[in-house]
Amino acid sequence: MSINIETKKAYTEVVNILNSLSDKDYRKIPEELILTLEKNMDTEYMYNVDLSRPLADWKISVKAQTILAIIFRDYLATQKQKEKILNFEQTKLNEIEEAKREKYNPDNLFPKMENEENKQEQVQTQENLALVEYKENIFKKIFNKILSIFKNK
Amino acid sequence: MKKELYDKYKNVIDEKFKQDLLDVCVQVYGEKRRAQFEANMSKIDIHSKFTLEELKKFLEEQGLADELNDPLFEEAFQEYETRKKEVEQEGKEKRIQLQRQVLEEIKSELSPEEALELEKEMQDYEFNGSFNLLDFAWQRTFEGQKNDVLESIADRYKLEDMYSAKKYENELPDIAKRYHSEGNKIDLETRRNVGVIGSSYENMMEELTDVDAQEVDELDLPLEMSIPGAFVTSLKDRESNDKYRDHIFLSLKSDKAQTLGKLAHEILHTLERTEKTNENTGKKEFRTGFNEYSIENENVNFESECMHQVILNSRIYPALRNLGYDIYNTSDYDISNFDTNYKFFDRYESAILDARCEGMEGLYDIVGKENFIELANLQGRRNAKLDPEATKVFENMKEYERQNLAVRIGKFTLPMQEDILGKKQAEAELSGLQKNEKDIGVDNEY
Repeated sequence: MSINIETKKAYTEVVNILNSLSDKDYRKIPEELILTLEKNMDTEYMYNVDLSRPLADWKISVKAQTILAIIFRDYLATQKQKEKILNFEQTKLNEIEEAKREKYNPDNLFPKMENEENKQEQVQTQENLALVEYKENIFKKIFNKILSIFKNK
Repeated sequence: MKKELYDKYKNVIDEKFKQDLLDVCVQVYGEKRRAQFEANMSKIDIHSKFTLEELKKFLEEQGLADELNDPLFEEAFQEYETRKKEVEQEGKEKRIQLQRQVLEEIKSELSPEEALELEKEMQDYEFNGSFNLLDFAWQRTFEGQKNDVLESIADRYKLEDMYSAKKYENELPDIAKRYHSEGNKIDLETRRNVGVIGSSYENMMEELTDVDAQEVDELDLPLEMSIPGAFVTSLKDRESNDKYRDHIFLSLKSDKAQTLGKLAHEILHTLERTEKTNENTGKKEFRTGFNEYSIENENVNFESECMHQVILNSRIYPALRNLGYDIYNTSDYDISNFDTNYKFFDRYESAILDARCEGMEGLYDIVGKENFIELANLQGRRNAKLDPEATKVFENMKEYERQNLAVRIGKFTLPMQEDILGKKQAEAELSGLQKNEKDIGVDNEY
């Protein structure tokens, strides 16, 4: 399985950050997960952790943040925090499913197509109208010009 | 003070200095603060706070003593001295009256013999409004005044001075408590009355006509006139309930470098300031430095001021000097400021600057709230000799960084918890890799 360089760099960031945890917290994370991250990380990429600075200053990539979010949920969060996150995820998943069902519901597909046909018809009509108006304008312009010549005389 | 005199000597602040200070502060605190700092800088009014005595000293130190011969100044100064003496005499008389009342009250509690003895001593004693032991010794030595009972009463009832009032607050007899509290009121009233005579008080009041009258009253400017130095405060506009401007009251200093230093100190308070509306009261609340909205903690405030000096001394003043400004500020806070505060700033600069403009949570997450409060409590004792204890707290903060990292990760990655699909993809990648490794492991066994 090949992984891209961005993911490898994200693994380096995660490994370095996890190495900065207290022993007590570090031991909560399964060894095999850490080994997988270490085996697949970019060893050329130098990523330093400065514990005295806010995490916002650490320039953690989005991918690494996502992995840290998973690790926090599964191994570092308290039971209560974990439950909250899992409940939240379930609600979100339900919403996604619901949205999918809505999108691919056959009852919704036909009216939609119908609507799109109507829409196309409307656009066509508007274009035609615009064309007529345009012509009218041109005629009006010429007429006005002729009229002005007569007036000047 | 006559307007001509005030206008002639008031502090004139160069707009370029304000702009340079703003740019330096943005460099130090980060570009993300520019909008906040620019908005806050545009809401500053500067007033010059000085008495005629301060103006006299200022001119003498500037080598401009000749200007004191100006009839405008001479007339004002004479009037000021006469009025000041009158007001101070009124205060002293009130003090003496209080002193007599207290002694009469105490006399009624004494044995007949002791009361008689006190009566005799009171007849000869030259009252001056206070029970200062040095006065007793002076009158005894040079005027042969016998004051054994007076001295013993002053000692027994802890009447000597305000210092005793603070020191023995809980064990003071009721009479002493009343004496100190009423004496304090008389002193404050006297200082207020002196403050408005021949000072820039009236001139500043004219400059404050757009400010809500109640806000000006609460400011107690007459009393502030007797306190040297500068200060800044937010005051509500007269016309609007939620429009505030920051008013800096700046004393005259013969040393321009120090005037700029003091001004920079006060402006930095303003730049750091953030406001919110209290949902319960509907009132605007402000915070600056390490202080929380509407929570006054004396020790935290003192630590905040000490850190303010650290930021100015180690970042702001040097940067302004690089721009060619001669600037410094000797602050009372520097006397007891711990060296540890400089180490604290060096290590946690980013978190400290964020805390001062956003709130304390981020800093607490890194160093621990308990550790921070312990440092503030130590600094609040205003004794630089306690620095070794502060160093221990600083070491605890370093330990805490690692201990609390898991919690910080949890808070920081909270927004990522919403990215359900992103997490699913990352999990799939990781479990794919783990599965792959396991398969390879099985192959290897073959």
